[in-house]
Amino acid sequence: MRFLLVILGIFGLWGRGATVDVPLDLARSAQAWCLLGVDLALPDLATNPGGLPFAASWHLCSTFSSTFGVVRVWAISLSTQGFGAEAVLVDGGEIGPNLHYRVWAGRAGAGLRLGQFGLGGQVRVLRPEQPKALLGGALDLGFFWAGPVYVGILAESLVSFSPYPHEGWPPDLSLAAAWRGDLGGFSGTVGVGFMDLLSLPAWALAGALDFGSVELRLGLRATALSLGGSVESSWFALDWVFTLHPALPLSFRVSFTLR
Amino acid sequence: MSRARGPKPVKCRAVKLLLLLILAATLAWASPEKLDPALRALLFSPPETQLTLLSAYPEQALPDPEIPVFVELAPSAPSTLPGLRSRVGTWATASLPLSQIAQLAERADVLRIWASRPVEPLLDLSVPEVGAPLLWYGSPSTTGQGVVLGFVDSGLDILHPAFRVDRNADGIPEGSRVLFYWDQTSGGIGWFPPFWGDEPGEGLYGQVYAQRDLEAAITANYWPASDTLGHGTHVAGIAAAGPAGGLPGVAPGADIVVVKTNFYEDGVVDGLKFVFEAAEYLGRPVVVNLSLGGHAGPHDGTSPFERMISDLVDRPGRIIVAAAGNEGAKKIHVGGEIRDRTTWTLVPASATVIARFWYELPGQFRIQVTSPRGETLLLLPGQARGLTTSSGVLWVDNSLSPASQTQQVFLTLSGSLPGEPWKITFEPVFPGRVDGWLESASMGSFSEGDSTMTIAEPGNARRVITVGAYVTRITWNSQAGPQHAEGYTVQDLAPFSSQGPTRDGRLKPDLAAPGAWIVSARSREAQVSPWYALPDGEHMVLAGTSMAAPHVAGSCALLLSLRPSLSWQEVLEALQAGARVDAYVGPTPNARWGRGKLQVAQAWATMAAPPPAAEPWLSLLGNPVSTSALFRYQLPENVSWAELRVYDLLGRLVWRAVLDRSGETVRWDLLGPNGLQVASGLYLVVLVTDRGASEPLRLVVSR
Repeated sequence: MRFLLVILGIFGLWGRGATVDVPLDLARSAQAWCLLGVDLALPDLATNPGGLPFAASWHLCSTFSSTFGVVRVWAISLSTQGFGAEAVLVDGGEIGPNLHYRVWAGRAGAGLRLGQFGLGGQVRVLRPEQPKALLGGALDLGFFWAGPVYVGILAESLVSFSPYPHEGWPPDLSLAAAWRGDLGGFSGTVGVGFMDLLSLPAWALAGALDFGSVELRLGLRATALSLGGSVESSWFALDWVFTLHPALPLSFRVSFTLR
Repeated sequence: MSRARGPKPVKCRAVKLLLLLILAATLAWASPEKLDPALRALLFSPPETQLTLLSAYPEQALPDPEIPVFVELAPSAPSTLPGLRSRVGTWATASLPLSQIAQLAERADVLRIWASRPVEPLLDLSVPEVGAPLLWYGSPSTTGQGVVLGFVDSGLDILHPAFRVDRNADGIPEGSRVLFYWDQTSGGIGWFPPFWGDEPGEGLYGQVYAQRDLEAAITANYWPASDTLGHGTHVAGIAAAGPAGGLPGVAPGADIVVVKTNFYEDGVVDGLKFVFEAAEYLGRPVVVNLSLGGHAGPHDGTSPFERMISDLVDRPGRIIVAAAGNEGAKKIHVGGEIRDRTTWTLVPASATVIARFWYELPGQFRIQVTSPRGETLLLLPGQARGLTTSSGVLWVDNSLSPASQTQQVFLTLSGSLPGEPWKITFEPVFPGRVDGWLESASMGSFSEGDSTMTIAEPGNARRVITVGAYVTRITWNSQAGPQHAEGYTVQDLAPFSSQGPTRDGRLKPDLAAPGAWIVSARSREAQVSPWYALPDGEHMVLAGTSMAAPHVAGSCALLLSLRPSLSWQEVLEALQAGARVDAYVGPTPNARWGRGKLQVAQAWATMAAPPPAAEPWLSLLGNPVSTSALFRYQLPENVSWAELRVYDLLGRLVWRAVLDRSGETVRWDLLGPNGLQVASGLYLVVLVTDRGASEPLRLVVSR
């Protein structure tokens, strides 16, 4: 335990008040976004490369989001058993004279299954286009355990080069646990997550009720309440989520998934 | 449409005279009472006089030259009349062929047409002298962030380090502090920003450069629209030079918009409107400096030039600062109550002389002009005539204008001999006060003249802050060695500083600021005498009320940066209340100093607390930021608590600050909750109170 604290402390020295890779987090599908990070511990979402080997089928997902009414996000992702990739464009629009904020980002990951354990790695690339055209990247490691509860751990930026010349892209650590079970006629999922422990630590609680072709979701953390759902069939899903924030305007996100 | 202007030599004079005669004959039916005397002279005076007047404009296609004018329109007039450009109130600027001017005057919805006349550029220690550093490093502090400083002048050397910025802290100032640069003198029609040309009449001429174009020019180290006169660069340096130039101006943190003007009244109005539209587009308060002026108007704020300028200052956060003029030691003014026959002596200093005499109805006068050799021209009220004499060609217009209470006697001499005096006699039909001015001090002087009422237009405009000059330096080291300015006393009024009041008796100048001798940025494209050039090659010294005005313009930018909703009147009152009075200034107000010497920190100290806002209001001073962000806020009256919160794009709280209800600004040093620097990226900033929240602002952190 003490060793872990020392490691966290060392990482904390490298930490930042907010992380470089926020645009990559914005790439999440509506389903994952609603769970506010607990998705790290769910096998059928591509957030954690360690969970990729547990994916049931392939997914092709496109996402659009209006985030707090001021930022627009377009993302597309492809995942299959053991492999996942995605690309995202975050556009903050015209902020001032010749001042725009626009970032491209991409991620590609792969994982191996070792019984109930999954281990994966992913490469993330961040390409700010405006106000300055830059390029950076990071290597992450993900762990997954499909036991009585699902546990996901993501160690981010273990190796990195920041796109910003005078800044680092320090390591970070997130972990989540989720339980999924049959509740008599429908299934339910509940989970808890602790994200970005080395930069801006945050907790989240999330749950979902799956009624077959309709699923309802709820996520909660200190600064957000997410309400979402989906309609789905065997070959597609339409997901949506609204995020309420105590001080910022409403966000919404919608995803369409083929599988 | 090319609007590059400048005197050109007249060729084929005989042919031009003939063409002008033909044009005048065809236009004889025009409505002369709607035209100002300068236009009437262009149409009806002897051809020699017409050519003299035309020589002030660029080379023109005869027989129908294009003339810049102001047009007064009836409310029913459509805004799409051909040739009209910027419209402000009932007046519009325009450039029209002479024949169309006459046709336009025929329209019932056109009330008056005035000629646009040329204006002239009016030409260390001074910045500390006015107290600017007290606001740079005070609490609250500002260097002018968030405010647009506009300069309508001879252009700017954008390659000068004073106007560049090092955004990535690599020691190379690759960025430009200039957001837009409109070169009115450039031929052809280039790119225009979205805010310009979207309303009918906004003149699309010349070339506009956006910040990215300017930065490309910096990268290429080539700037085709530079300041070849050097005046605009020096003026802008006083108000806004950044620290990279080694000699910061009064508001080194302000953003800059430049109009390289053609130095005609209509072009200046277009330029002012351009800067105001740019600031509105950016959502910023704005100060425009006008270090230029002329004496073609009635000096009472009623000329179309001064009226349009005043009408542009129609909302809080808009300020115009004008130089008082450099005629404080020139006898270009005569005036007095004319109850008996009164004679004034005009001594030309150049071949072309234009003088205007102004009076109010019911006064009416017979005018007699006598040449140096005794030839005489007599005009009754309502008459306009010319006379060819052995000393030059004379044209006098004593017509009455039914559209105005203010009447004008227009006199022009062509081919006059310098030094040979002309007598101008006013004989009252109905007595009244008459004031007359030569259009430029370079044209001559009146033997009985004085230097009162010599505030150059637009300094007489009602909503303009007008600045006289005093002395802060009389020695400097130049490329030609040590220099000493004779005839100047440190802290005393500069002898050239024009004096008030206005013709209608208002106090001008409003205050005085350092104007002699001032060290500021030097344009590398300008020819500079080695006596004025400093050894570093980057700076030079100049003197003039042109140098005094930007001290005040920069000070206004500091005040607007601290409180963007201030009106021009509030700023003027604060500047006057904070002005320093000493033995040189004497009892105030007076027509030489106004209310005294500029002291901007004292002006800020005199300002009352801002009025309460209806809703929480937040603005950002500077974006993007690399080391700290400064926010300005205003809270509703009944707020019991308020916080500034910064969130990242995931909605996570990055920073918060409890706000002082009596405060106005708050600074974030870009540190997160763990005290470490936040990452580059986009952040959302919101002002949260128990009475609601402000709109979120987008803040870009870019290192």
